[in-house]
Amino acid sequence: MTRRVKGPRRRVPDYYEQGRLLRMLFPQFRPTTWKGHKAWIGGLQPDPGSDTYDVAIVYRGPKAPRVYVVSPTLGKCTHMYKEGNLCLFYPKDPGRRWEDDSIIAKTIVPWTISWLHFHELYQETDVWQGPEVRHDSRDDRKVS
Amino acid sequence: MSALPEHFAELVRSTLPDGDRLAVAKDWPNRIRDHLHDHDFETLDPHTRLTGSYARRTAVGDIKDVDILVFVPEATQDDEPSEVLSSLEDALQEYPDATIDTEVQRRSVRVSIEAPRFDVDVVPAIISEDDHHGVLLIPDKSRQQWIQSQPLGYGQALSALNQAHGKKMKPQVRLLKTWRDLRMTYMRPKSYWLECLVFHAFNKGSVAEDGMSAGPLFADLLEHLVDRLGPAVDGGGVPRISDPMLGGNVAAGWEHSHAKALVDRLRTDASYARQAVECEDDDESVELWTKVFPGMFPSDPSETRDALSSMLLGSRASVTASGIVVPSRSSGTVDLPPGRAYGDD
Repeated sequence: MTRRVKGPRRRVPDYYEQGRLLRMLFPQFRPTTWKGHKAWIGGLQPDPGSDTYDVAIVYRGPKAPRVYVVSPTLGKCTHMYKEGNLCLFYPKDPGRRWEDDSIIAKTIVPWTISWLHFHELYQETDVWQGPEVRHDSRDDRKVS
Repeated sequence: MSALPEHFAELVRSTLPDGDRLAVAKDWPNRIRDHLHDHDFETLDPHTRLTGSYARRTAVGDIKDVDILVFVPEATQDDEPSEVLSSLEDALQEYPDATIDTEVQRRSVRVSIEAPRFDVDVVPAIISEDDHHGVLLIPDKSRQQWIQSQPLGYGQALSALNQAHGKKMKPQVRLLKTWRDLRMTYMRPKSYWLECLVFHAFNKGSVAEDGMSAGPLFADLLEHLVDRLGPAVDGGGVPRISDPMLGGNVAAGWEHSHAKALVDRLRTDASYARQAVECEDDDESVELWTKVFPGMFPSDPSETRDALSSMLLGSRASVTASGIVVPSRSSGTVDLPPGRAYGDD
Protein backbone atom coordinates (compact mmCIF):
# COMPACT_ATOMS: atom_id res chain seq x y z
CA MET A 1 0.00 0.00 0.00
CA THR A 2 1.36 3.43 -0.89
CA ARG A 3 1.18 6.18 1.67
CA ARG A 4 1.57 9.87 0.88
CA VAL A 5 4.46 11.48 2.73
CA LYS A 6 3.36 14.59 4.55
CA GLY A 7 5.30 17.66 3.49
CA PRO A 8 4.82 21.40 3.65
CA ARG A 9 1.29 22.38 2.83
CA ARG A 10 1.01 23.25 -0.85
CA ARG A 11 -0.73 26.37 -2.02
CA VAL A 12 -3.95 25.65 -3.85
CA PRO A 13 -4.45 28.00 -6.83
CA ASP A 14 -7.77 29.81 -6.50
CA TYR A 15 -10.45 30.16 -9.18
CA TYR A 16 -9.04 33.44 -10.49
CA GLU A 17 -5.48 32.17 -10.74
CA GLN A 18 -6.57 28.96 -12.46
CA GLY A 19 -8.74 31.04 -14.80
CA ARG A 20 -5.91 33.41 -15.65
CA LEU A 21 -3.61 30.54 -16.59
CA LEU A 22 -6.40 28.75 -18.42
CA ARG A 23 -7.19 31.75 -20.60
CA MET A 24 -3.52 32.39 -21.24
CA LEU A 25 -3.13 28.96 -22.88
CA PHE A 26 -6.71 28.33 -24.01
CA PRO A 27 -8.25 31.77 -24.63
CA GLN A 28 -11.58 30.35 -25.74
CA PHE A 29 -12.50 29.42 -22.15
CA ARG A 30 -14.81 31.88 -20.40
CA PRO A 31 -15.52 32.10 -16.67
CA THR A 32 -19.11 31.22 -15.85
CA THR A 33 -21.26 29.36 -13.38
CA TRP A 34 -22.44 25.94 -14.39
CA LYS A 35 -25.21 24.27 -12.42
CA GLY A 36 -24.47 26.61 -9.55
CA HIS A 37 -20.70 26.01 -9.49
CA LYS A 38 -17.80 28.21 -10.52
CA ALA A 39 -16.67 26.96 -13.90
CA TRP A 40 -15.25 27.78 -17.29
CA ILE A 41 -16.74 26.83 -20.66
CA GLY A 42 -14.88 26.69 -23.95
CA GLY A 43 -14.79 24.83 -27.25
CA LEU A 44 -12.29 22.13 -28.20
CA GLN A 45 -12.07 20.51 -31.64
CA PRO A 46 -9.86 17.41 -31.75
CA ASP A 47 -9.79 17.35 -35.56
CA PRO A 48 -10.64 20.08 -38.11
CA GLY A 49 -13.30 17.68 -39.43
CA SER A 50 -14.79 16.65 -36.11
CA ASP A 51 -17.38 18.24 -33.86
CA THR A 52 -16.39 21.19 -31.71
CA TYR A 53 -17.09 20.09 -28.14
CA ASP A 54 -18.23 22.72 -25.67
CA VAL A 55 -16.67 21.66 -22.42
CA ALA A 56 -17.48 22.84 -18.88
CA ILE A 57 -14.69 22.64 -16.31
CA VAL A 58 -16.10 22.89 -12.79
CA TYR A 59 -13.69 24.32 -10.21
CA ARG A 60 -13.58 22.47 -6.87
CA GLY A 61 -10.63 24.04 -5.08
CA PRO A 62 -8.04 21.41 -4.17
CA LYS A 63 -10.23 18.59 -5.45
CA ALA A 64 -9.98 17.47 -9.06
CA PRO A 65 -12.12 19.67 -11.31
CA ARG A 66 -14.97 17.90 -13.01
CA VAL A 67 -15.24 18.10 -16.78
CA TYR A 68 -18.54 17.77 -18.64
CA VAL A 69 -19.27 17.93 -22.34
CA VAL A 70 -22.08 20.47 -22.67
CA SER A 71 -22.62 19.87 -26.40
CA PRO A 72 -22.93 17.97 -28.63
CA THR A 73 -24.46 14.89 -27.05
CA LEU A 74 -21.68 12.37 -26.69
CA GLY A 75 -23.49 9.25 -27.91
CA LYS A 76 -21.76 5.96 -27.35
CA CYS A 77 -19.17 6.55 -24.68
CA THR A 78 -16.70 4.96 -22.31
CA HIS A 79 -14.44 6.29 -19.56
CA MET A 80 -17.12 8.48 -18.05
CA TYR A 81 -18.47 8.62 -14.49
CA LYS A 82 -22.13 8.00 -13.74
CA GLU A 83 -22.64 11.75 -13.12
CA GLY A 84 -21.56 12.40 -16.72
CA ASN A 85 -18.12 13.84 -16.00
CA LEU A 86 -15.19 12.56 -18.00
CA CYS A 87 -12.76 10.15 -16.42
CA LEU A 88 -9.51 11.80 -17.37
CA PHE A 89 -6.92 10.16 -15.14
CA TYR A 90 -6.49 7.18 -12.88
CA PRO A 91 -6.76 8.46 -9.29
CA LYS A 92 -4.20 5.96 -8.00
CA ASP A 93 -1.51 6.82 -10.55
CA PRO A 94 1.25 8.78 -8.76
CA GLY A 95 2.69 11.45 -11.03
CA ARG A 96 -0.10 11.01 -13.54
CA ARG A 97 -3.06 12.24 -11.53
CA TRP A 98 -4.53 15.46 -10.19
CA GLU A 99 -2.78 16.93 -7.14
CA ASP A 100 -4.33 19.69 -5.07
CA ASP A 101 -1.88 22.26 -6.50
CA SER A 102 -2.11 21.11 -10.11
CA ILE A 103 -2.74 23.68 -12.81
CA ILE A 104 -5.93 23.02 -14.78
CA ALA A 105 -4.54 24.44 -18.04
CA LYS A 106 -1.55 22.09 -17.88
CA THR A 107 -3.31 18.93 -16.74
CA ILE A 108 -7.08 18.80 -16.98
CA VAL A 109 -7.38 20.56 -20.36
CA PRO A 110 -4.66 18.52 -22.15
CA TRP A 111 -6.18 15.34 -20.69
CA THR A 112 -9.60 16.46 -21.90
CA ILE A 113 -8.21 17.04 -25.40
CA SER A 114 -6.63 13.60 -25.37
CA TRP A 115 -9.92 12.12 -24.10
CA LEU A 116 -11.87 13.77 -26.93
CA HIS A 117 -9.31 12.57 -29.49
CA PHE A 118 -9.76 8.96 -28.37
CA HIS A 119 -13.51 9.39 -27.97
CA GLU A 120 -13.76 10.31 -31.66
CA LEU A 121 -11.85 7.15 -32.54
CA TYR A 122 -13.92 5.12 -30.09
CA GLN A 123 -17.09 6.18 -31.86
CA GLU A 124 -15.59 5.18 -35.20
CA THR A 125 -14.16 1.83 -34.10
CA ASP A 126 -15.76 0.83 -30.75
CA VAL A 127 -12.25 0.42 -29.34
CA TRP A 128 -10.62 2.83 -26.83
CA GLN A 129 -7.11 3.21 -28.23
CA GLY A 130 -5.62 5.54 -25.64
CA PRO A 131 -3.83 4.68 -22.41
CA GLU A 132 -6.38 3.36 -19.92
CA VAL A 133 -6.92 1.42 -16.75
CA ARG A 134 -10.04 -0.69 -16.79
CA HIS A 135 -11.96 -1.43 -13.63
CA ASP A 136 -10.78 -4.66 -12.02
CA SER A 137 -7.78 -4.78 -14.33
CA ARG A 138 -4.50 -6.04 -12.82
CA ASP A 139 -3.27 -2.43 -12.45
CA ASP A 140 -6.45 -1.45 -10.67
CA ARG A 141 -6.31 -4.36 -8.18
CA LYS A 142 -2.57 -3.97 -7.61
CA VAL A 143 -2.80 -0.37 -6.50
CA SER A 144 -6.09 -0.61 -4.62
CA MET B 1 -16.41 -15.36 -38.86
CA SER B 2 -13.40 -13.16 -38.15
CA ALA B 3 -14.17 -9.45 -37.64
CA LEU B 4 -10.79 -8.41 -36.16
CA PRO B 5 -12.15 -5.27 -34.43
CA GLU B 6 -8.83 -4.41 -32.77
CA HIS B 7 -6.96 -4.72 -36.06
CA PHE B 8 -9.44 -2.51 -37.85
CA ALA B 9 -9.47 0.01 -35.01
CA GLU B 10 -5.73 0.42 -35.48
CA LEU B 11 -6.06 0.50 -39.28
CA VAL B 12 -8.78 3.17 -39.10
CA ARG B 13 -6.66 5.24 -36.70
CA SER B 14 -3.62 4.95 -38.95
CA THR B 15 -5.51 6.35 -41.94
CA LEU B 16 -5.80 9.76 -40.25
CA PRO B 17 -3.24 12.46 -40.98
CA ASP B 18 -0.82 13.15 -38.12
CA GLY B 19 -1.87 15.68 -35.53
CA ASP B 20 0.83 18.11 -36.61
CA ARG B 21 -0.57 18.17 -40.17
CA LEU B 22 -4.10 18.56 -38.83
CA ALA B 23 -2.97 21.47 -36.66
CA VAL B 24 -1.32 23.24 -39.60
CA ALA B 25 -4.30 22.54 -41.89
CA LYS B 26 -6.65 23.97 -39.30
CA ASP B 27 -4.53 27.09 -39.05
CA TRP B 28 -4.34 27.82 -42.79
CA PRO B 29 -7.59 29.82 -43.05
CA ASN B 30 -6.35 32.27 -40.39
CA ARG B 31 -2.96 32.61 -42.02
CA ILE B 32 -4.46 33.26 -45.46
CA ARG B 33 -7.05 35.68 -44.03
CA ASP B 34 -4.35 37.69 -42.24
CA HIS B 35 -2.17 37.79 -45.35
CA LEU B 36 -5.03 38.95 -47.57
CA HIS B 37 -6.03 41.55 -45.00
CA ASP B 38 -2.46 42.90 -44.96
CA HIS B 39 -2.45 43.05 -48.77
CA ASP B 40 -5.74 44.94 -49.15
CA PHE B 41 -7.70 42.08 -50.68
CA GLU B 42 -11.31 42.63 -49.64
CA THR B 43 -13.05 39.74 -47.95
CA LEU B 44 -16.33 39.44 -46.11
CA ASP B 45 -17.20 37.73 -42.85
CA PRO B 46 -16.43 34.84 -42.22
CA HIS B 47 -13.49 35.79 -44.54
CA THR B 48 -11.93 32.34 -44.91
CA ARG B 49 -12.95 28.80 -44.17
CA LEU B 50 -11.33 25.39 -44.36
CA THR B 51 -13.13 23.06 -46.73
CA GLY B 52 -12.19 19.85 -48.53
CA SER B 53 -11.28 16.53 -46.98
CA TYR B 54 -9.40 18.02 -44.00
CA ALA B 55 -12.57 19.80 -42.98
CA ARG B 56 -14.60 16.61 -43.37
CA ARG B 57 -12.34 14.14 -41.49
CA THR B 58 -11.95 12.20 -44.73
CA ALA B 59 -8.33 13.17 -45.48
CA VAL B 60 -5.88 10.27 -45.35
CA GLY B 61 -2.19 9.98 -44.51
CA ASP B 62 0.06 12.89 -45.31
CA ILE B 63 -2.22 14.36 -47.97
CA LYS B 64 -0.84 17.76 -48.86
CA ASP B 65 -3.88 19.36 -50.49
CA VAL B 66 -5.82 21.82 -48.38
CA ASP B 67 -8.82 23.74 -49.72
CA ILE B 68 -9.73 27.14 -48.37
CA LEU B 69 -12.67 29.32 -49.32
CA VAL B 70 -12.15 33.09 -49.37
CA PHE B 71 -15.44 34.96 -49.16
CA VAL B 72 -15.50 37.95 -51.52
CA PRO B 73 -18.15 40.69 -51.91
CA GLU B 74 -21.17 39.90 -54.04
CA ALA B 75 -20.29 42.69 -56.47
CA THR B 76 -17.23 40.63 -57.45
CA GLN B 77 -19.62 38.54 -59.52
CA ASP B 78 -19.60 41.36 -62.10
CA ASP B 79 -15.92 40.70 -62.73
CA GLU B 80 -14.58 38.05 -65.06
CA PRO B 81 -13.50 34.88 -63.19
CA SER B 82 -9.97 35.16 -64.60
CA GLU B 83 -9.70 38.75 -63.30
CA VAL B 84 -10.77 37.73 -59.81
CA LEU B 85 -8.33 34.83 -59.73
CA SER B 86 -5.64 37.12 -61.06
CA SER B 87 -6.15 39.75 -58.35
CA LEU B 88 -6.19 37.01 -55.70
CA GLU B 89 -2.95 35.71 -57.15
CA ASP B 90 -1.43 39.20 -56.94
CA ALA B 91 -2.45 39.49 -53.29
CA LEU B 92 -0.92 36.10 -52.49
CA GLN B 93 2.28 36.70 -54.49
CA GLU B 94 4.25 37.79 -51.46
CA TYR B 95 3.20 34.89 -49.28
CA PRO B 96 6.41 33.91 -47.49
CA ASP B 97 8.32 30.79 -48.56
CA ALA B 98 5.71 29.82 -51.11
CA THR B 99 5.22 29.58 -54.84
CA ILE B 100 1.97 30.78 -56.30
CA ASP B 101 0.27 29.17 -59.26
CA THR B 102 -2.97 29.69 -61.15
CA GLU B 103 -1.92 28.04 -64.40
CA VAL B 104 -3.19 24.56 -63.65
CA GLN B 105 -6.00 25.65 -61.36
CA ARG B 106 -9.34 26.45 -62.96
CA ARG B 107 -11.09 27.73 -59.86
CA SER B 108 -8.42 28.61 -57.33
CA VAL B 109 -4.98 29.99 -56.67
CA ARG B 110 -2.51 27.41 -55.45
CA VAL B 111 -0.10 28.40 -52.69
CA SER B 112 2.62 25.75 -52.51
CA ILE B 113 4.44 25.72 -49.21
CA GLU B 114 7.73 23.90 -48.81
CA ALA B 115 7.90 23.25 -45.09
CA PRO B 116 5.75 21.61 -44.00
CA ARG B 117 4.81 20.54 -47.52
CA PHE B 118 1.29 21.75 -48.31
CA ASP B 119 -0.55 22.81 -51.45
CA VAL B 120 -3.16 25.27 -50.32
CA ASP B 121 -5.87 25.87 -52.92
CA VAL B 122 -7.51 29.21 -52.22
CA VAL B 123 -10.95 29.47 -53.82
CA PRO B 124 -12.81 32.81 -54.06
CA ALA B 125 -16.47 32.31 -53.13
CA ILE B 126 -19.60 34.42 -53.08
CA ILE B 127 -22.40 33.56 -50.72
CA SER B 128 -25.31 33.30 -53.13
CA GLU B 129 -28.12 35.84 -52.73
CA ASP B 130 -30.70 33.09 -52.69
CA ASP B 131 -28.54 31.01 -50.40
CA HIS B 132 -30.19 27.62 -50.15
CA HIS B 133 -28.31 25.02 -48.20
CA GLY B 134 -24.96 26.75 -48.53
CA VAL B 135 -24.86 27.22 -52.32
CA LEU B 136 -21.82 29.32 -53.24
CA LEU B 137 -20.70 30.90 -56.48
CA ILE B 138 -17.11 30.30 -57.46
CA PRO B 139 -15.20 31.50 -60.54
CA ASP B 140 -14.39 28.99 -63.27
CA LYS B 141 -11.62 30.32 -65.48
CA SER B 142 -11.98 27.84 -68.32
CA ARG B 143 -15.75 28.29 -68.59
CA GLN B 144 -15.42 32.03 -68.00
CA GLN B 145 -18.37 32.08 -65.65
CA TRP B 146 -19.33 31.85 -62.02
CA ILE B 147 -20.61 28.41 -61.20
CA GLN B 148 -22.57 27.00 -58.28
CA SER B 149 -20.81 24.89 -55.72
CA GLN B 150 -21.90 23.50 -52.38
CA PRO B 151 -18.84 22.42 -50.42
CA LEU B 152 -20.21 23.59 -47.08
CA GLY B 153 -23.65 22.07 -47.64
CA TYR B 154 -21.98 18.83 -48.70
CA GLY B 155 -19.83 18.80 -45.57
CA GLN B 156 -22.94 19.21 -43.43
CA ALA B 157 -24.84 16.50 -45.33
CA LEU B 158 -21.89 14.12 -45.01
CA SER B 159 -21.65 14.75 -41.26
CA ALA B 160 -25.39 14.23 -40.79
CA LEU B 161 -25.26 10.96 -42.72
CA ASN B 162 -22.19 9.87 -40.79
CA GLN B 163 -23.99 10.64 -37.52
CA ALA B 164 -27.04 8.70 -38.66
CA HIS B 165 -24.79 5.69 -39.24
CA GLY B 166 -23.16 5.78 -35.82
CA LYS B 167 -20.09 7.64 -37.15
CA LYS B 168 -19.11 4.53 -39.10
CA MET B 169 -19.26 6.06 -42.59
CA LYS B 170 -16.30 8.46 -42.61
CA PRO B 171 -13.88 5.70 -41.57
CA GLN B 172 -15.09 3.74 -44.63
CA VAL B 173 -14.28 6.75 -46.84
CA ARG B 174 -10.78 6.85 -45.38
CA LEU B 175 -10.34 3.09 -45.74
CA LEU B 176 -11.43 3.23 -49.39
CA LYS B 177 -9.03 6.08 -50.20
CA THR B 178 -6.22 4.29 -48.40
CA TRP B 179 -7.05 1.08 -50.27
CA ARG B 180 -6.93 3.00 -53.58
CA ASP B 181 -3.52 4.46 -52.67
CA LEU B 182 -2.13 1.05 -51.73
CA ARG B 183 -3.63 -1.01 -54.54
CA MET B 184 -3.65 1.29 -57.55
CA THR B 185 -0.44 2.79 -58.82
CA TYR B 186 -1.88 4.09 -62.08
CA MET B 187 -5.30 5.21 -63.29
CA ARG B 188 -6.42 6.05 -59.77
CA PRO B 189 -9.94 7.42 -59.35
CA LYS B 190 -10.09 10.81 -57.66
CA SER B 191 -10.61 10.94 -53.92
CA TYR B 192 -13.79 12.94 -54.23
CA TRP B 193 -15.34 10.35 -56.55
CA LEU B 194 -14.69 7.64 -53.98
CA GLU B 195 -16.16 9.83 -51.28
CA CYS B 196 -19.32 10.34 -53.36
CA LEU B 197 -19.61 6.60 -53.98
CA VAL B 198 -19.48 5.88 -50.24
CA PHE B 199 -21.95 8.70 -49.59
CA HIS B 200 -24.48 7.19 -52.02
CA ALA B 201 -23.90 3.66 -50.72
CA PHE B 202 -24.84 4.72 -47.18
CA ASN B 203 -27.50 7.20 -48.21
CA LYS B 204 -29.37 4.61 -50.26
CA GLY B 205 -28.94 1.91 -47.65
CA SER B 206 -26.89 -0.24 -50.05
CA VAL B 207 -24.54 -0.90 -47.15
CA ALA B 208 -25.67 -0.60 -43.54
CA GLU B 209 -23.46 -0.69 -40.50
CA ASP B 210 -26.02 -2.47 -38.25
CA GLY B 211 -23.51 -2.85 -35.46
CA MET B 212 -20.94 -4.32 -37.85
CA SER B 213 -17.29 -3.57 -37.26
CA ALA B 214 -15.22 -1.82 -39.89
CA GLY B 215 -13.85 -4.99 -41.54
CA PRO B 216 -17.10 -6.71 -42.51
CA LEU B 217 -18.52 -3.32 -43.44
CA PHE B 218 -15.60 -2.66 -45.81
CA ALA B 219 -16.12 -6.09 -47.40
CA ASP B 220 -19.78 -5.14 -47.99
CA LEU B 221 -18.72 -1.81 -49.43
CA LEU B 222 -16.30 -3.36 -51.93
CA GLU B 223 -18.98 -5.82 -53.08
CA HIS B 224 -21.49 -3.03 -53.43
CA LEU B 225 -19.06 -1.01 -55.55
CA VAL B 226 -18.52 -4.00 -57.86
CA ASP B 227 -22.30 -4.23 -58.32
CA ARG B 228 -22.63 -0.49 -58.75
CA LEU B 229 -19.77 0.12 -61.20
CA GLY B 230 -19.30 -3.29 -62.86
CA PRO B 231 -22.25 -3.36 -65.30
CA ALA B 232 -21.40 -0.03 -66.97
CA VAL B 233 -17.76 -1.01 -67.36
CA ASP B 234 -18.59 -4.53 -68.61
CA GLY B 235 -20.89 -2.96 -71.19
CA GLY B 236 -18.02 -0.84 -72.53
CA GLY B 237 -19.25 2.35 -70.86
CA VAL B 238 -18.20 4.50 -67.97
CA PRO B 239 -20.15 4.73 -64.70
CA ARG B 240 -21.75 7.99 -63.70
CA ILE B 241 -21.12 9.30 -60.19
CA SER B 242 -23.55 12.01 -59.24
CA ASP B 243 -22.68 14.97 -57.05
CA PRO B 244 -24.55 14.38 -53.77
CA MET B 245 -25.72 17.99 -53.64
CA LEU B 246 -25.96 19.39 -57.16
CA GLY B 247 -26.59 16.20 -59.08
CA GLY B 248 -24.06 16.63 -61.92
CA ASN B 249 -21.66 13.87 -62.89
CA VAL B 250 -18.50 14.44 -60.85
CA ALA B 251 -16.68 11.79 -62.88
CA ALA B 252 -17.33 13.34 -66.28
CA GLY B 253 -14.29 12.63 -68.42
CA TRP B 254 -13.49 9.34 -66.70
CA GLU B 255 -11.96 7.06 -69.30
CA HIS B 256 -13.19 3.50 -69.75
CA SER B 257 -9.74 1.99 -69.25
CA HIS B 258 -9.41 3.83 -65.94
CA ALA B 259 -12.85 2.80 -64.72
CA LYS B 260 -12.09 -0.78 -65.74
CA ALA B 261 -8.84 -0.72 -63.78
CA LEU B 262 -10.81 0.22 -60.68
CA VAL B 263 -13.51 -2.41 -61.20
CA ASP B 264 -10.92 -5.14 -61.85
CA ARG B 265 -9.13 -4.27 -58.62
CA LEU B 266 -12.41 -4.07 -56.72
CA ARG B 267 -13.41 -7.55 -57.93
CA THR B 268 -10.14 -9.11 -56.80
CA ASP B 269 -10.15 -7.45 -53.42
CA ALA B 270 -13.87 -7.86 -52.71
CA SER B 271 -13.21 -11.58 -53.00
CA TYR B 272 -10.22 -11.44 -50.61
CA ALA B 273 -12.23 -9.32 -48.19
CA ARG B 274 -15.20 -11.70 -48.18
CA GLN B 275 -12.93 -14.69 -47.58
CA ALA B 276 -11.21 -12.78 -44.78
CA VAL B 277 -14.52 -12.06 -43.07
CA GLU B 278 -15.87 -15.58 -43.46
CA CYS B 279 -12.84 -17.57 -42.43
CA GLU B 280 -12.74 -18.83 -38.85
CA ASP B 281 -9.03 -18.45 -38.30
CA ASP B 282 -7.81 -14.97 -37.30
CA ASP B 283 -4.29 -15.50 -38.66
CA GLU B 284 -5.65 -16.51 -42.03
CA SER B 285 -7.98 -13.52 -41.97
CA VAL B 286 -5.07 -11.18 -41.23
CA GLU B 287 -3.17 -12.70 -44.15
CA LEU B 288 -6.08 -12.04 -46.51
CA TRP B 289 -6.65 -8.49 -45.27
CA THR B 290 -2.94 -7.84 -45.74
CA LYS B 291 -3.47 -8.48 -49.46
CA VAL B 292 -6.15 -5.78 -49.46
CA PHE B 293 -4.11 -3.31 -47.39
CA PRO B 294 -0.52 -4.36 -48.16
CA GLY B 295 2.10 -2.93 -45.83
CA MET B 296 -0.54 -1.28 -43.69
CA PHE B 297 -2.82 -3.91 -42.19
CA PRO B 298 -1.56 -4.44 -38.63
CA SER B 299 -0.40 -7.97 -37.88
CA ASP B 300 -0.40 -7.31 -34.15
CA PRO B 301 -2.44 -4.23 -33.16
CA SER B 302 -1.39 -4.50 -29.52
CA GLU B 303 2.18 -3.61 -30.55
CA THR B 304 1.11 -0.35 -32.20
CA ARG B 305 -1.24 0.40 -29.36
CA ASP B 306 1.54 -0.10 -26.83
CA ALA B 307 3.77 2.21 -28.86
CA LEU B 308 1.04 4.85 -28.94
CA SER B 309 0.47 4.53 -25.19
CA SER B 310 4.16 4.76 -24.50
CA MET B 311 4.40 7.91 -26.63
CA LEU B 312 1.53 9.49 -24.69
CA LEU B 313 2.73 8.28 -21.29
CA GLY B 314 6.29 9.31 -22.06
CA SER B 315 5.36 12.99 -22.08
CA ARG B 316 6.42 13.37 -25.69
CA ALA B 317 3.09 14.61 -27.06
CA SER B 318 1.43 17.99 -26.81
CA VAL B 319 -1.88 19.67 -27.59
CA THR B 320 -2.84 22.79 -29.50
CA ALA B 321 -5.01 25.51 -28.01
CA SER B 322 -7.84 24.56 -30.34
CA GLY B 323 -7.81 20.94 -29.16
CA ILE B 324 -5.60 18.77 -31.41
CA VAL B 325 -3.21 16.14 -30.05
CA VAL B 326 0.21 16.58 -31.68
CA PRO B 327 2.71 13.68 -31.49
CA SER B 328 5.59 16.00 -30.62
CA ARG B 329 6.36 19.07 -28.57
CA SER B 330 6.66 22.38 -30.33
CA SER B 331 6.31 26.05 -29.65
CA GLY B 332 2.73 27.18 -29.33
CA THR B 333 1.54 23.86 -27.96
CA VAL B 334 0.95 22.73 -24.38
CA ASP B 335 2.64 19.55 -23.18
CA LEU B 336 0.33 16.60 -22.71
CA PRO B 337 1.13 15.22 -19.25
CA PRO B 338 1.05 11.43 -18.92
CA GLY B 339 -2.31 10.11 -17.85
CA ARG B 340 -4.53 7.08 -18.21
CA ALA B 341 -8.28 7.20 -18.65
CA TYR B 342 -10.24 5.26 -16.09
CA GLY B 343 -13.84 4.28 -15.50
CA ASP B 344 -16.07 1.96 -17.45
CA ASP B 345 -19.47 3.45 -16.89
